[in-house]
Amino acid sequence: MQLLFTFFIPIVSFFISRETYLHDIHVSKCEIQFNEDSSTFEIATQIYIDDLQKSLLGQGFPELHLCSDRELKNADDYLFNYLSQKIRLTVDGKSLTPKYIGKEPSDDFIAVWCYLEFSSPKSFKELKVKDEVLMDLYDDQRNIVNIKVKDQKGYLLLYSKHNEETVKY
Amino acid sequence: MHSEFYTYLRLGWQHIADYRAYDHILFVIALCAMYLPSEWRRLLILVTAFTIGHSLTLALSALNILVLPSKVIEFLIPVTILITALLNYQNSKNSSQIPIYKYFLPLIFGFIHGMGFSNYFKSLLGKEESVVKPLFAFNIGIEIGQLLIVFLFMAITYLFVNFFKIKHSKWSKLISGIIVLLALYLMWETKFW
Repeated sequence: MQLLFTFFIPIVSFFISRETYLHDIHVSKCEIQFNEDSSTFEIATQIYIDDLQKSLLGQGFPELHLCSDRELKNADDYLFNYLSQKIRLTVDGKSLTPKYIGKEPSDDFIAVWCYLEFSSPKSFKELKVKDEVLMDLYDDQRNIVNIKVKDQKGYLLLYSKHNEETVKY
Repeated sequence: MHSEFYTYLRLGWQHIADYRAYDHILFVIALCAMYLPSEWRRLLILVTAFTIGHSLTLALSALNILVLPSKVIEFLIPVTILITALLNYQNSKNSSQIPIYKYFLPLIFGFIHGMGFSNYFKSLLGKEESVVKPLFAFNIGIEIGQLLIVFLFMAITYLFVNFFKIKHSKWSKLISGIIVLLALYLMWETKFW
């Protein structure tokens, strides 16, 4: 019995030492659609606002007060700067340049939708997607990427040890 | 690339198997602690009842039909763990006969756990063409994760009872006691008043 307790006490204290047990799901979503007419990848990504602001602060950005009446005037510039570091598209080995389109809060103001565009060559053999949004903040962050190119649709599940994936066409 | 179903299934099972979200792990172990590996059929029913319970409330709150304050839910989750673990001290002499309410409790406690993760989950599904399919896949993933925990815990139980020759009644009381302590700690951490 004594042996059992010496074995279990470290396990119990391991659990208790965790700063919080609450099981928030750390997930963001990113939809990528290839527009054949304009030859651009249109990105819509949904991120929880409070997590996003924490991540921004951690990366040295100022407090942006996103989607509130106190929002900084150049919040969009900072947000674009952040997103262009975290979300990268590479087509046949060539990195694409992002363009900022805008943002809007979700209906419940918990999350924000951010819109980006990447111009791309019209035809390509492979697309590499990197999405490490919020991964600096939580090591269990999961980013779901939904890709639609022509008639091919599919999902990627990206996390800190696997923050990019290449899709062949 | 993967299908939508597989992606949300993986999200569900990774969520359950994550030791940081150990409240679910504790609940499942509290549910199992009384039983021997040979009683796996009974366990399967209990765990499935729990899954049905939380699938229902996860769906209801994801669809905005039923929403409770998350602070209350976060407190109630360790309460369900505490009650489940405490009940393991009852009628342990005659474990072959299980009162019917023991099957309903995991179902009802599942309702509470389901509301726990829905707050975060629902806004993610906002622009999804259909909410039902990812939710269903997520729940299947959770069930797989829970069964994995049951399997691992039963393997450990087998090891202790058959190799280290610890009496099963002692073993289940010890495990339940540890869970009671952890549940009390979690209740203290999440008290909302």
